[in-house]
Amino acid sequence: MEITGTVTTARAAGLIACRRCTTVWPAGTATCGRCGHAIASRDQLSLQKVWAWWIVGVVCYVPANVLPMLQTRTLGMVENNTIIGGAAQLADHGNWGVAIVILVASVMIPIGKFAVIAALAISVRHGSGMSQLRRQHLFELVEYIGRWSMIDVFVVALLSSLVQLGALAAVAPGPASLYFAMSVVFTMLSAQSFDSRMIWDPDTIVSRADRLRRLPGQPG
Amino acid sequence: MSDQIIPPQLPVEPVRQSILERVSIVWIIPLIALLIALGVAWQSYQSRGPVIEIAFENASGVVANETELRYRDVAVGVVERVTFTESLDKVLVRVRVDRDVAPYVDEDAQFWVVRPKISTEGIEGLDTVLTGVFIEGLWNTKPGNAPARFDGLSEAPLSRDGRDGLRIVLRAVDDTGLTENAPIVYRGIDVGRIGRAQVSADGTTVEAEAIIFKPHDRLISTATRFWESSGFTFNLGPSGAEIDFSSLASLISGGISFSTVVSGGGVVTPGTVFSVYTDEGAARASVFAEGDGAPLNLTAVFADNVAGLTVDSPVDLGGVRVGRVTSVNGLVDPERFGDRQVRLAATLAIRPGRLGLPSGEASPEAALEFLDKQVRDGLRARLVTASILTGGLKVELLMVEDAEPALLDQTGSPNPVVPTTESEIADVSATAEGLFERINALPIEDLMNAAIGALDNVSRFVAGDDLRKVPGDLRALLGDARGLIGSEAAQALPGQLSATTEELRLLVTRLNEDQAATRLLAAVDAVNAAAASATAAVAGVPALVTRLEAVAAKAQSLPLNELVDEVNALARNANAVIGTEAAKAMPGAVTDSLNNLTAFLSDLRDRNVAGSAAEALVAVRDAAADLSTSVAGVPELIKKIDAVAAKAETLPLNELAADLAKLLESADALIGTDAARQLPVDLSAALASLRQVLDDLRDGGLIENANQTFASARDAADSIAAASSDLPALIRRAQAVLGQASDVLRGYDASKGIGKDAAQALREVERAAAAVGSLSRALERNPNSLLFGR
Repeated sequence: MEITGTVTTARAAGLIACRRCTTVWPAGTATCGRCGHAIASRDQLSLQKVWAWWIVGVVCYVPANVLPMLQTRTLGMVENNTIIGGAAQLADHGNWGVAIVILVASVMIPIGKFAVIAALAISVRHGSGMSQLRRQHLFELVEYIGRWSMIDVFVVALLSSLVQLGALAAVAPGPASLYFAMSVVFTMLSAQSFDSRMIWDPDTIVSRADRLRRLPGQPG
Repeated sequence: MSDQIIPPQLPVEPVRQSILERVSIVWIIPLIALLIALGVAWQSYQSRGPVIEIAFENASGVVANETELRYRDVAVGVVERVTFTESLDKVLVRVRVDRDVAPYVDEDAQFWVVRPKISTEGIEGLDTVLTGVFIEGLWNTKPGNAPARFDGLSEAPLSRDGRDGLRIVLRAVDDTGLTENAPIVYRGIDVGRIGRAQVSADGTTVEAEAIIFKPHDRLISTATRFWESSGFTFNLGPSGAEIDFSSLASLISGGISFSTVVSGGGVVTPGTVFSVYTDEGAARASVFAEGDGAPLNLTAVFADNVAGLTVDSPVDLGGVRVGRVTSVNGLVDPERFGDRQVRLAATLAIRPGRLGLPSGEASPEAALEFLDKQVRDGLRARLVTASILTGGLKVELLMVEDAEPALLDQTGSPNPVVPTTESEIADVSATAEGLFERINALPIEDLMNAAIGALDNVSRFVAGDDLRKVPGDLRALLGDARGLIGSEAAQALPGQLSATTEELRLLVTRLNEDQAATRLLAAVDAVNAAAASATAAVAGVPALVTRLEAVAAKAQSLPLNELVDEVNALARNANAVIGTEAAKAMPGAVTDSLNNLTAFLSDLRDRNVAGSAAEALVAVRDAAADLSTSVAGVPELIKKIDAVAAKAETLPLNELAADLAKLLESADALIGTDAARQLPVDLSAALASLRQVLDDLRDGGLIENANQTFASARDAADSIAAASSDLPALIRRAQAVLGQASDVLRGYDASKGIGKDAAQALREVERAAAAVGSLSRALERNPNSLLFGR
């Protein structure tokens, strides 16, 4: 959808909407008169939350890749596989398809999410060459894809509960699975903390530094 | 745009916000994560135990970060690094030990690598097949200081499950099987374990470390004896083969049993050496054989190197066993004995307690002193036969009368040397063999050859022309004699003769009246006895026969033909003599002499000569009796005859024959003389006397007695013949019996031949059964260990 012409935003019209019950109030109202929800034109702390969750998510993602994800016990032999190690092993055995699926789901998507969230958060402050609409699409994609990021953890949980053949073979989740799950959760929280309205805000409100930088070129 | 609504300006209140409002609460999450991470790191650092270093000869299968250190089968550490010691001669394993266990890993800690091991004794470490090896550690329950580096064991120690006990050394007697890790059983209860068997330092026996676990170690005393507790025993003895299945359970478990056979044993210190006997009987018997303290070792050097003396042969003193032979060696020492003859050097282990010394003084030193004194008094060692059947020997210490002075050489090395004397070995086979050898040595074939040669010569002699001429000459001689007899004087002879005969008859009558015949019988009996003695004396005859054979050989070479010629000539001369007038006058002379004889006989009768003759016969009988006793000396006589024959053999018989021929020639000449012609007169007188004696003899029943004597002799000979015909059968029987006995004895030797094979085979079976047993035990205890270890 292409926005043509100038759009008068609620903010420009001096109005503010409650995010819970969508009642519109004059700007400056602190709480919603209908549902009692705290209302603000923009969540001032949004970016802080994004970055805080983002940092925890990234930190959790490190052990999730270093520690073994899956502990396979076959005839007494214990095999510990990290995510990348397991994918490499599958590729070694010729299962390229499965290896690519694992790599995409467990490595590329989480890292992509981190990158997208970080890029969005930065673009809100510093502006970006990318159009606002595209950034909105990216944000939606991240939100949508977040729930599928747990597929790795589901696979591990399924295997662990199904493959329990006593002495012959047993699969147990490795410590990495917990970190991976935490990483996914924190990434989702980080994405949710992002106030997507900020994408559409004029660049002027973004940062004082930006404003200062722009002032000489744009008198007004 | 006039109607444009100007929205009221929003009041902008620059609110001074607090720090809490400006900073999101979410930042707490990263902070908490950071704190948790720091806490975890700190905790893991805190709980990290120390690293110990263990040096192994061989660390095959030990992998860094994987191989565990286990204590009582629980992991208490993990290998961090596997490197080498500075000199690369050992593998250095660095193990991170759990913090709570580390204080107990001190100087007494032992480490070994547990690997899968499948042997006849069983299967061990089956779990390590799948999980890989692990390092087992063993230490006590008291904390101590850990050394910088531990030395790993190459084998699992005996008390691997951490049980304490008494450590002893078991020494195998003969070929007792000391199987590693076999249990030591006491009345069916597993109370100990045997360690790894190895050849002792001197290479003569096999030793194995063993442990008797507490509290059973108090069962062990110095009087305890160990034996191999086979599941079944196999015996091949005089009573046949015996198999004793005493306990099938011990067949599975195998191992060694023990029992304190007598009371009064002392306390056993760790490291004491015990012998393991092949069975309980041997173990019990050993108590009495070895309970006399340390033995005194002596060496005895026997000049005669004979077979039969073996290790464990008894040493007797006055019929009491005082020790045994511990080794038998050949000894060649030219410097000591002056020749290169192989001598028999036997080492005798004397039990001082058996010598009758006071119980408190039964030490080897006291025994040596005692024996030294005895040797001064004539005590000597000698070899004597212990068993006639087997030919086994034993050593006997006995007092020898008039022994050459000798001393117990206390400087002898390695043992004091006891002087020896001549052996007394009753070698039954040697004696019999000697008899047969002598019989064999009789020159029967030579004798036969000589006899054949002699007979050949005789036949040649008889077929000679000279001998054929003899009958012709004789016929002529007889013709002359007939002429002589036909003369008147000769015709008158019968009348004279009948008168003489009458006189003789009267004389004989008198003799009969004096019981001369009875006495003569007695005399004949005596002669009979004498003949019996003579038979006994004939033993030396073979030698005599040899001599006679030689003489015969000489005689064979004599010039008999010439001798016959001479005889011929002599006969012719005699013929001439008889043909002379003088000879013809001889009948007249004979008649005269007969007349004289008649008168003489009358005188005799008047003078009671018959009584005298009877007395004379008594004397003859006595003489015969004397002869009978004197015949006892005949062997010597025969020896002498032998000697004479030997001399005769050496005599110049040829010359003798020549002399004889000369003599005959002289006789020939002599016959030609007048004196010779007078000879027939004397001859006829002598003939008359002769006939008279013959008549007497015939009347006296001599012939009958002689017949009886011969009959008896024949009976005796028959008996002997019958007896001797039984003799070969008897000897064969004895031989067969001895052969069987020897076979039995050979078979009975349990350590050799079939006995040994059987014993070995049974032992193999037993070990295999033990292996199966231990496997089944292991599986029974822990069946799924087959798949995934403990």
